[in-house]
Amino acid sequence: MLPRIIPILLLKSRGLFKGKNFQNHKYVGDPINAVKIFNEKRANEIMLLDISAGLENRILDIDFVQSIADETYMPFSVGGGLKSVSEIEKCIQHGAEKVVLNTSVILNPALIKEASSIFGSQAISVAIDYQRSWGRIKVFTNSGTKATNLNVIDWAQNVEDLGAGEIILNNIDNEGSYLGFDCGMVEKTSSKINIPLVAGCGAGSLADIRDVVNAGASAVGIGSMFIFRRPHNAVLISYPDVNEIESLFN
Amino acid sequence: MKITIPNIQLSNLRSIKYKLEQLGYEVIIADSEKQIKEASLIVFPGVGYFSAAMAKIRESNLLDGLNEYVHGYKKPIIGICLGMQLFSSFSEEGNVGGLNWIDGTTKKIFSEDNLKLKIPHIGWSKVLWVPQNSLGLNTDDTFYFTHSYHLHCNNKSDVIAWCNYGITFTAAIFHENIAGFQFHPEKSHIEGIKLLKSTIDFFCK
Repeated sequence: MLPRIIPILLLKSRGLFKGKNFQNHKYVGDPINAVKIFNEKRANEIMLLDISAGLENRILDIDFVQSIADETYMPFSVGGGLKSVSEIEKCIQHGAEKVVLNTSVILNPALIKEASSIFGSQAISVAIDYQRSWGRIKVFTNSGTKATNLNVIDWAQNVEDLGAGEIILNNIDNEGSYLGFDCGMVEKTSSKINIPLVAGCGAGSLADIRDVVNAGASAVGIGSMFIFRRPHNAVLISYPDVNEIESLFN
Repeated sequence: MKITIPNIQLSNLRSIKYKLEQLGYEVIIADSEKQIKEASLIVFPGVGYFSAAMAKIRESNLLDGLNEYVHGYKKPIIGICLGMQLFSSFSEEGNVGGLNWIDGTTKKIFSEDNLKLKIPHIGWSKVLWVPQNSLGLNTDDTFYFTHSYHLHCNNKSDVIAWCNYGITFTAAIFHENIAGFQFHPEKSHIEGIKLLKSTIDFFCK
């Protein structure tokens, strides 16, 4: 099975945004258009995260989830402010394959257990955002604005034990940098868990995808590289075709 | 051709309805036993935890109608993902009985040879069709899977396609009036939709 290559679209309500290092988010366009293009380009899967929902104490737009479900023929996950079983249920009943949880499960880890025993592990993904801070690596919450004292690997193991089906590992320092993934952390984390790991943040080339998969990632999450065209970061949605992906791993 | 989807909230019924309508079918979401019994083809989608889903089916008041439809009338039903697993006699996911329409057990994916195998199995895998299978399906395409459990059929002849991920497991079944897919045809781009359409058309010809 080829690793999944997953475009990650960051939303603020109904707008598509993109930043660097979880900051300076700029409006990029209409997310529905972007999703339609990824659908036409036959993306393996797509992830939609409303990065302002939690900060604004709301959840992502459910009508938007429904319109994505209606207009696409690919699996997708959604996240943004989700903190209860009933909110997760809404997302799944409106067509999301799975939900992405982060801040809410750090505050209330039991939600992972509760949700996976209703929707199945495969429907519950947990994102872990981390950053180097004062020489230590720390897990952050609230869209990367708040440091915790959690250790990445301990938290990843805990998340698996509670019943999550997947972990998305985001190195805040690499987001939007095109410098490549944090293969070291991916290798250390992946070797300690038995659920798939999605490596996020830092993709600059197809070779970066191959490297992080070799380090143990089951899938990659990619934003800037699929949304912008360098060197001037003009908005241009792209996605590798299946032959390109196959040749990476042969 | 009219397709009926039982109104049991195990997944996003509306978008499946919408996609089937785009293929040209008339689709109704059935709320009553009467509507189930009058159906001519049922599509049964599902995601979730087996025992929680069974509890929802029992609460729905459609169970007697579904049993009559499948066993009594022997009319066609197509299960998708958990929808197919629910047809089995028993599941390790919650250790409960299933609908018992297919002789088999839903088991956790486990490989003695690869204890480090990442579970759930999530991604696009090749489906190996049994030659000359009853549905006449035969493609080299990959389809989207997302599951931790698989349906082990006691009668190998019920299996019309296999998939490899650590172990070899059931990717699709066919038994008299019952068909099922472990993968998600409705989320597998154009190839998935074509496959769903050809399965529906098989039953309607």
